[in-house]
Amino acid sequence: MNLSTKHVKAGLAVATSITLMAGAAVFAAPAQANNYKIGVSNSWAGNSWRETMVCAIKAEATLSGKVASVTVLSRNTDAAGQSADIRTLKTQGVNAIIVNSGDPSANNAAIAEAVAAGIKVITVDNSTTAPNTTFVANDQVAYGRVGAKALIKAMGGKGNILYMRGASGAGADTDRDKGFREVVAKYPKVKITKEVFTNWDWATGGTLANQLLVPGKFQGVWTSGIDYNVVTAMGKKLKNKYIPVVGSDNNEFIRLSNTLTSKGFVGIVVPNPAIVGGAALKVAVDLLDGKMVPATNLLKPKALTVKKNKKNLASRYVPTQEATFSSTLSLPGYTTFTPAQLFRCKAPQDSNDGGR
Amino acid sequence: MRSFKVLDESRISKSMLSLFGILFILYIVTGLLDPYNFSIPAIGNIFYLAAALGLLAAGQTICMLTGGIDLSLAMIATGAAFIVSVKSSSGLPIALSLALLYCVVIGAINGLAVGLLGMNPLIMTLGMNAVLIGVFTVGVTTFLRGSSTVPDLLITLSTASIIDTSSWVSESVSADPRSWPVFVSIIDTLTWPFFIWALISAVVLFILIKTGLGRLIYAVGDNARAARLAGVKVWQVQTTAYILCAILGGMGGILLGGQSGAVALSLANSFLLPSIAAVVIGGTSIMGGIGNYKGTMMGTLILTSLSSLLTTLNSSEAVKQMIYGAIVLTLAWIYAKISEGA
Repeated sequence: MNLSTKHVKAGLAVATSITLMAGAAVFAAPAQANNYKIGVSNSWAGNSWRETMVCAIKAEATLSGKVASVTVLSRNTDAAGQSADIRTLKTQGVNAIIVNSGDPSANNAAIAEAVAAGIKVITVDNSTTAPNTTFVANDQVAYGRVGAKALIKAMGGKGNILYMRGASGAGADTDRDKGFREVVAKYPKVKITKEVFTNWDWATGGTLANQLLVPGKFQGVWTSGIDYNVVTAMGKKLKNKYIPVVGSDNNEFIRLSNTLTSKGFVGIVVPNPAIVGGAALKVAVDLLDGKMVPATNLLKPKALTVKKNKKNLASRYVPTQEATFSSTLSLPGYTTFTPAQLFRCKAPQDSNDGGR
Repeated sequence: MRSFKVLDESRISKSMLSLFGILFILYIVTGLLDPYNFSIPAIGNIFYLAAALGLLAAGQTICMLTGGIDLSLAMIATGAAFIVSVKSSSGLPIALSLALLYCVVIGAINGLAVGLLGMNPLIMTLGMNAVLIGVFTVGVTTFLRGSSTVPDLLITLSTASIIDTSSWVSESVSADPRSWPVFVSIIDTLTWPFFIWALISAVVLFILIKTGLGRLIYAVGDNARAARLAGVKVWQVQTTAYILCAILGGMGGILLGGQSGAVALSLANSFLLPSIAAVVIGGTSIMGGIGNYKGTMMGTLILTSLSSLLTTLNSSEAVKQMIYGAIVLTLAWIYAKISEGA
């Protein structure tokens, strides 16, 4: 009895040390080509845009043929939680971490630890001040600029703008504001007569639109992506006398821009693609392959209208997706997935058929 | 004995009067800042915007009268609206039935957990909220995949005036609604959401004041143990309350969805705290047993007017947040003082 217990104990000890050694060996092993392990840290779960971003990472990873697994740590958390997630990914031995940071600097320490361990860190969508990282995002200053130009053109170069921003203090909001005002300043007959913050919340934006839209008061509306319900509110408040609205690539806004053209509505779609996640994955793989990648990689948004981009907008509306789906389905030069592969949302380790 | 106090007319009318006074002051201040707010269309807009919040707050009132609270109400509302919009492709009656089923099931789970298992309502409904966020996040790409555009009929019921006046106003006049004939403005103000809110309010008031269920809700909230000893099946009352709350929340969510035109998964999130604040401002005790829906209706109108006041202000977002918080706190404090004195 005593002897057998000892044997078992000894056996366990041997087994444990073998496991530990094996684990250490895996951890210490250099990144094998075609066998990269990618980690993703996302600070906002349950948000359509962020979910699509993660799916784009998974789909592109599967198609790259160079990624063995994508580990996603996605939850609603503060900087402390996200830093813990980044450290978890580091101890799991990933080769690269794609971070959509909820804070511009509070995760820097955790990111620095990952970088020191030889992990490539790619920040996506939200920039950070962390050194030795690569940034991939939409150019938000250009987002504000191209939307302003198209809006003023649709307004005939004069009139009052209802300016519905995102969240005060958020990086993307500040950048968009910079680009927007740069353009508006050039047109003396155009004035921002009301400026409000939607906090990127649909109910808040809808309430504001219902409170502020009065016939004759505004000749154009700029939104930071809380767009389609502003158009819906015009049906009631302006008695279907629509004024131009700048919105994002939300599925429903694209639908309204397409269908309400016949009623005189001008919807200006400035995409803010969630599949920028796919671009971040490509950058991660390029970095792991040893290729040179600039420290900052910005997508250049264009303003789309039915008048000029009828085909593009018609093909963008995806009837099988919900209203806030970020309807940009490919980024030439970055993504290779088809819409079906994106919607499938499978990481390389998720399916035994290779996921393709 | 407290249940008698609830029905004490003089006390209720005094607090209602003070709530009305607060509403009036808010309205005057808003109007002084921008005279447009004194116009009939602007007044109509307050009722139009209050309707969805009023329905959510009605649910919350019933919960809070039993001494509970529903922190999953916003996700119940969003979920119901999302189900209706996505499933409307298989017919509106089916979509509405599914949404109703969803509300009843979630309300029943909340109610049974609180009533039978004795779970703390804060923890139970907060947990339910997290579960629902997860379920719908997964659902969007699987069993609830599809367009979340709200069907036209529901958009009409959520936004339109009962009598369409658009053809009555000539193009030249329609530039400024203040120049419309008064009777057109008044008819325009009678919107479907306002009508629906008024109708549901009447039902809720009837249930709470005139029915046995209403009295049981007050009795359970006042003293659950005494109610149980008196032979009341407390868990049944609580379960019914949470189901009613979920159904009212679902209706509020669908109304909100209709006013948006399509449903986002965060549709009603920012309505959760106001739905609780409206009840508290309206004088319903968070401990249960004391309060009424008339107060909540006033609370809803006060919060909607306050929102309109803040929108009129051209101050920074941070200042607006501070003003909002300060006013809500002051209201709660004043109300507590008045109620004490009565």
